[in-house]
Amino acid sequence: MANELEIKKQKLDDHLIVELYGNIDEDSNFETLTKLDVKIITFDFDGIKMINSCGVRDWIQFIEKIPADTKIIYKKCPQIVIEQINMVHGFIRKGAKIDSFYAPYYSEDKDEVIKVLLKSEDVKKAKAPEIKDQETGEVLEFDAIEAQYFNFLNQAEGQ
Amino acid sequence: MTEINDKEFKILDTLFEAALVLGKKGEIKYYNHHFSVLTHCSPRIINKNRSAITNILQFSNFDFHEFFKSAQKSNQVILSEELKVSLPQSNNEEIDLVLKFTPMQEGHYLLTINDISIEKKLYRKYKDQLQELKETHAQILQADKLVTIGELTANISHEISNPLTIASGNTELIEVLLEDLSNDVQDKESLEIIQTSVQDIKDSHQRINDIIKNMKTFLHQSEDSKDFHKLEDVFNSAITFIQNKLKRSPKDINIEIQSSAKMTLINKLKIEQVIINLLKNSIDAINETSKPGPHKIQINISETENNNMVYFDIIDTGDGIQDSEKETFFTPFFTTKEIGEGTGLGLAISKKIMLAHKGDLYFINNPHGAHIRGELPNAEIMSFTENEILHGQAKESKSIRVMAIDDDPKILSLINSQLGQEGYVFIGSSHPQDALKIIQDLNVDVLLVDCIMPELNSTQFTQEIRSWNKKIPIIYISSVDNRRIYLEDKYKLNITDFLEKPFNREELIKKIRQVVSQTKQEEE
Amino acid sequence: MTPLQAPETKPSVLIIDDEPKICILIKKFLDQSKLFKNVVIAESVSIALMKIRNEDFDLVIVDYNLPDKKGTDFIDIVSKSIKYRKVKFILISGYLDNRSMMDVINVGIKNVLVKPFTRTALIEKICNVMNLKNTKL
Repeated sequence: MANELEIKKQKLDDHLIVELYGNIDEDSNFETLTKLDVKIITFDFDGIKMINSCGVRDWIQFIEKIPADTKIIYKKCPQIVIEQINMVHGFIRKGAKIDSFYAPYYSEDKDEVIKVLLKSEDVKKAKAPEIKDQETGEVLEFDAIEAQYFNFLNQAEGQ
Repeated sequence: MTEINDKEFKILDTLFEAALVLGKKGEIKYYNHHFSVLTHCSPRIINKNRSAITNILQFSNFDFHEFFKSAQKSNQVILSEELKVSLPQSNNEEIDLVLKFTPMQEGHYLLTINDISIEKKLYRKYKDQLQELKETHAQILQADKLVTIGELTANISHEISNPLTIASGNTELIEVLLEDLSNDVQDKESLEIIQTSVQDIKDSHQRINDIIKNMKTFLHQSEDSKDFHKLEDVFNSAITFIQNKLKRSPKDINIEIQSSAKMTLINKLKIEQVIINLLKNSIDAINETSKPGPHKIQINISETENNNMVYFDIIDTGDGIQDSEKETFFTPFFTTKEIGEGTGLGLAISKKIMLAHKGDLYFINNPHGAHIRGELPNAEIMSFTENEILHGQAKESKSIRVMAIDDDPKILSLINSQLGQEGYVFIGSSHPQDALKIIQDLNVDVLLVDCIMPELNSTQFTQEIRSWNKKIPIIYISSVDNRRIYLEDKYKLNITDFLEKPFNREELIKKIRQVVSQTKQEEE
Repeated sequence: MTPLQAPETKPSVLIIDDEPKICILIKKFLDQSKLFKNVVIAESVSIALMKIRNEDFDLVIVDYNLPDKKGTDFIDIVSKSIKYRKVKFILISGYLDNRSMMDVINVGIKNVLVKPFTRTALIEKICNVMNLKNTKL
């Protein structure tokens, strides 16, 4: 039961906000997400700690059941989710939008990797935006391969 | 970033597997994107550790460099076994891999890595789950078979009892009336024929009756064997069994037992199974809760107000159970555990076992955590009803009821089996107060009393019995050194006889027969 | 041998069984024995409760399985009332399993007769319970 997927829902008029916590894997249960005939659903992945291929499979099945005219937004996707999105087709549904996500940035001074929350619109032409350390002002180095990491942005737009 | 010969190796990025190109010394010349994702290492870290692949992949029981050297020597495609690997750069997360070395041009080696972590995890989970399901399925089938046969037998005998009563009763009436009329009837031949027919009908009725009784006895005997145990002993045995699980728990769990020394007549294996299942659930509940300690499992053993049922309570300091979930917990396959950690058949079977013992299992509201209660008939009631069904109802003539009071469950079990073979109805007791109540409520023909009992000494006990039932024959049991107690009480309290421990079946039966025939003579 | 008792001092019996032929059978047995003043039959607990209010009975022979309630429930209700504290009970039943036996013990019944029973067994049991001497066996 440790780290089992937990789902919290909040409804604001025709907008459903779904917060996800824990692991998305073979034991995850999406059945509590019913009555999804709203206009917009926002999935907040901030609390996700782990995701594996079984979880991805279940997620895709679940997403496909959402009515086609419902707008889907993904936000605060951690790196592990972005990696899955980049590897597996169908994780982002056609027309879905990735609003925000975390990207790894490295501080040489601190010898530390910091996960920075980026908005998709800040990434232009698959280039990581410049990020400075809030305390020291050091320019941080993007700690992944840009072409690979931002691939999903092409997916979302291109579809 | 990546080194020379990029363009050649870029095709590796199209692979679904993690792939590396290694140089002669085992250093990383090229790695594909999937390798970075698998190891959770950014390019920066991989570059830092090009010559130290074991900083990225930490193998247990596997020497990477030795293996690589042997791959180089053989100059063939070589596969490793399934390897357990931890990722030091990623919180030592554990994965399962298979490595494949393929020789390339210019002494380079292609290392492709197959991540079998999920496959292994699921295999393990489902295999355990399947095994558990198979075993419990077999158990359920077996239990159901017995239940079905039992229900069939009960239904048949129930349905038959009324018509059989009517038929045999009316036949008796006819018999009596024929007797009365026999003087008035002229046709003696026909009368005789009628009387013979009536006798034949009576005999047939008796045969039908015997068939039903034999069915009941047979069925009753095929139920689980039972003997006498103190509930506290069964709990202690169960706790020893789960020591390992307790030790593996990340939290400190204290188990406390509060018992009023209750005796029961049970199938120890099955009841222990129930208790182990409940304790395991409590330990799991405590492991999963986020409530702070100290954590404990409280076990209380006591009896109901009317003293007929013994019950045990198991209360843990976990999160407890929602009211809405309480009933569903006993349905088969209900589980809150992950696959491989429990099939949820435990509680359903536990409840069945308790019901089969004429007891019950249910949850009680408790703010502190989960509180489950198990009820069982006390030793006296259980031994009476079991033996009455086996021996009492089976006979036309009244069967002899023998009650023994001893605080040692082994002695009670011994007497139970010895007397059972002779067809006596045995009632076992360890508690003088409960015994007194039974003697008041039921007709007991012989009383066996152990001279030395911690709670009440035999003399006091016998005095109390004599105070309101002068006639019941009493036999003292003890080792020969306590014979003097018998001699002291013999005339004061009219103790009929003394049985010396250790005794065998013949001696016991002989004494009881003597006492019974003596009592019969006195009545006539 | 005791002389035949005067009719007024003979006990009255109520028989409760939902099988009318069994009630009639037992009534025939009892009437034949000439030990009883009045033998009345009832088919269910509710009818039996009505009858016991209208008439005094010294003995109730009640079946365990009755249509509306269990025989032990009837005994429980009746024995709790002061008016009926002297009434004696005999429970008749087909097969009694552990559970039903525990019901019987809990209600305090010592006297159980298992079906099918012979006339002899019935009369003997009744004489035991009522402390009567058997004039006809």
